[in-house]
Amino acid sequence: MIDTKVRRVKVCYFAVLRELRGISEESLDTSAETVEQLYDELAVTHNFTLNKEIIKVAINDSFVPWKTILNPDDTVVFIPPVAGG
Amino acid sequence: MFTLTDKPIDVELLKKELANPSAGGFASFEGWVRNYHEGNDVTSLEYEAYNQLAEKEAEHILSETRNKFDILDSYCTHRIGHLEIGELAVWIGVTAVHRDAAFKACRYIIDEIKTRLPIWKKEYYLDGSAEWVNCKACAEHSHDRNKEEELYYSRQMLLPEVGSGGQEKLKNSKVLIVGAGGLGCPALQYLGAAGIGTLGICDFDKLDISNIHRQTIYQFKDIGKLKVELAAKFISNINPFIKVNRHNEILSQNNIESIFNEYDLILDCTDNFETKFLISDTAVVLKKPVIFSSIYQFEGQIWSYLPEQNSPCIRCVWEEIPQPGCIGSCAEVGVLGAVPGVLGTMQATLALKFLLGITNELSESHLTLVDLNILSIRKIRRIQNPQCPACGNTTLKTKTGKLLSETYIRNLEIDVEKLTNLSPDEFEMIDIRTELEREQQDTLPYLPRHIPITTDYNILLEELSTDKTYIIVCQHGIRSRYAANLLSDNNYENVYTLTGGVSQLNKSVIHN
Repeated sequence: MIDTKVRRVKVCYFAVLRELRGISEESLDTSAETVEQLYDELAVTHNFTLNKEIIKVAINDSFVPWKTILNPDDTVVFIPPVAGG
Repeated sequence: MFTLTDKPIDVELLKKELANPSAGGFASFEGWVRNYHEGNDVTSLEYEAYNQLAEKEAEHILSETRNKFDILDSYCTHRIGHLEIGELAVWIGVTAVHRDAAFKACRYIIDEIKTRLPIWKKEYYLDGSAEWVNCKACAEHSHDRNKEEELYYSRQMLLPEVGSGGQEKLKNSKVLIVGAGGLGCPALQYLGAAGIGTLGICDFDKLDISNIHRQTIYQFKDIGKLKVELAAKFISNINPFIKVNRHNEILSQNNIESIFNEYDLILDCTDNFETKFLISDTAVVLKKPVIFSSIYQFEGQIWSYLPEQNSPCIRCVWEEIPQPGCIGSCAEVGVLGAVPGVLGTMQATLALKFLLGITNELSESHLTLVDLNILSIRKIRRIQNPQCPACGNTTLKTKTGKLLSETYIRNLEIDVEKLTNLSPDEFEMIDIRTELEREQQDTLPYLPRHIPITTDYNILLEELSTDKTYIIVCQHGIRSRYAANLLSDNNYENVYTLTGGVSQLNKSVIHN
């Protein structure tokens, strides 16, 4: 029986997160309920050291708070601030 | 015969041209570049001509001279391009059987050339400024000049969104580009060529060999020269119809308002969070539109602050200034040269759209993420945060407990001049540069306490006491500004940052 809590979402990585993950985007199955839990899971798997406080997160191209609940087929984007010029 | 030349005039060669056994007299006139004009000290000159018309008109003058005076031959040559004081700008030679005709014809030619030829003169002054000088000839030929200007912009004026009305809007616009680096170079190039009437360039740096791979308006031979000067010259060469202002300054709380007030639109092409936040906070106070961009390796971010459209400011998304070094700069993490080329060009495109009034409201309120790894552009909707400490309609405080308006008013900058007037026992200097930086750079003419910081600024809170006066220094005054703000947020009342950092201090000491 499939765990109904597992959702398939698309995740996009930018800047240092892309560097650490090694790819720009991927689809993955997660049992995380909120976008914050998803980040925490990924942080462990991929050694993300960046403090969550300075990262912004968007779901389906709108900025959202970290406690936002994930829905199946959401596109999640993690955005660190960058300053190069 | 008449010629225009961008090379020094060889008088002996020209005299040979005129040699004639029947000539009993030869008269010549030389026009030289002199060092003052209407009370200004001139350091050099630039001549520019509408070549075909100048040549045609000069041949008319020479033929008139032959008809009026009993001469054998005449020759006139005029310089174009950059000339130094004392250089020969124009040379006229006339041969005749008798001296009287030679003298008169020579005088006639120079008088006519001065008033009838479409040649413009740009004077460079001792104070660093430059100006195209209005003369009678310019007025008479302004019609041709206008026609030439129209041809210059003809391809973009064909666009229904531009036309002559749009071109006029661009001509009346004043745009400031902060940072003449990877993003600034392409932005300057396209905005200059598009005919922004007044283009300001603000940068304090000198060209470094490691800049050129991404800052492609600069030349290898110019390493070590001021970027502002090089960029201004480059733009004047591609478009003689616009005015370029040079601001060879570090943008700080001391000068930002007076500089911003000269312009209608600002492009943030800087490379650090401190300056980006300073630009955004000031733009909110002054209600100035800004187009921002930042890059990271193969990616970039671009967003705008348009006060009239109530677009969000930088703090609506990032409330606090990220700590310097938490995310790498180009110097730390590397950058492919073409990436700022793409983002800077996008900034220029948005600027032109904004000035022409073809702003797409939806796209301008986005944070646009450009990922050149996979050629994707993703737009994230931004909304004005009603609790934003900068632009929100609120008296809420930032996490560190300060109202932004207080943060903005606090001026922690201290410049080199002020510093040199202080007695060393009035303050303690704190040098937060790393060991490596201190080894590589010149030593300070002060004896600072070293608290090297790589990532953790909180060490300052442990090491320093709130009741003393400190001046924090780093290499360029960016990290020290962050440190001073952090301390000030934590109730340190007498803490300052040295504007421009150690690099300014050494420059000034050497000059003195």
